[in-house]
Amino acid sequence: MQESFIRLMRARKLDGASELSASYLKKVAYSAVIDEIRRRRRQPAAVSGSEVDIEATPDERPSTTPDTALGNAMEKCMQRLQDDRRQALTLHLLGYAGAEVARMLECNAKRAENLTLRGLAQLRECLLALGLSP
Amino acid sequence: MKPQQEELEKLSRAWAARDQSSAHEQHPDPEELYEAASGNLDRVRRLEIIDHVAKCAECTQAWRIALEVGARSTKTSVTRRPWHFALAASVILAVGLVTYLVIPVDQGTPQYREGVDPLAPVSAIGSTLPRDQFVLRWSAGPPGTTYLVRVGTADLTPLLDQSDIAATELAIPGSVLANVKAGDELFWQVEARLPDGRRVASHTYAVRVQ
Repeated sequence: MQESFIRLMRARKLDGASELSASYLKKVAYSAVIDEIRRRRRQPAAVSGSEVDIEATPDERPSTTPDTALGNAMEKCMQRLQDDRRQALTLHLLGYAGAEVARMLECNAKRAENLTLRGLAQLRECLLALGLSP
Repeated sequence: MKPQQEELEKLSRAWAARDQSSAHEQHPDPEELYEAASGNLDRVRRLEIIDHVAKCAECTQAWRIALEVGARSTKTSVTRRPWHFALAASVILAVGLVTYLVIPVDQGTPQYREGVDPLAPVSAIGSTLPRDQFVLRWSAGPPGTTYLVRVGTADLTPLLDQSDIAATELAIPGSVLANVKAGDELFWQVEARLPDGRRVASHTYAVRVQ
């Protein structure tokens, strides 16, 4: 988090009198946090001296749940889809609505909906073949 | 709830819960992920990142966080005002909380953190310094290295930004600390400018003013 503060301070100074958008600040903060998450995933932080870091938390990683098993199977099935169907379905699963999927894929809404529905149908078939169902 | 909605919720939940990734390529840069989630990247790169997310549980989570912090509504740019910093700080705190509470930490064999250049300066001071002898010190780089030091407060106010420092210490003048109360915490970072032109930043350190 402290890295975020420093980046923001730097951004604030570098931008001087120019406009500094809220979205830019959010992006700076977001990037610093994702970097930190990635570092923490790779290995535990070593806190020494006065270095600031988010305190390590106990490992609360649950053992494989039905959701996790289904999610892992979904990933395998998704890789078998055509690129455009996989992309539409990925966005759909991330919570994008039809019009947003269309905007992200730069196609019309009808095509985005078709890609998503066909992707979903294929996903269902693949999961059923693996003995799983949503 | 309609069966279709129920199915989608279940699939979305499972999609978010997966813990295996088949992605072998490097993760996209967080800024690119954020831009992709905002729909602002060029189409080719955006689709590449969506493809990566489709096979990477970690980046799926990062994408969701981007949406949580408002990546969808990045179109409007507004004039800089203090509340932007409050907003950004609240985003940091919110996402930091996610990091603290949600992200599991591998408790395997302790190792030093990766990703930091061995030539990066390391603090050589404790957690507290007296106001009248507020001297920041750090480890030395190769001969010819110069340093840039940034000091700021927790509320994002920059106090000092000094470059071209040849020594491995910097005495902070009392005037810089004039508005800092006893017990306040300051954050500082050193960037080494190596003789070969590379820049290597230290971690961010905290030090309390006595």
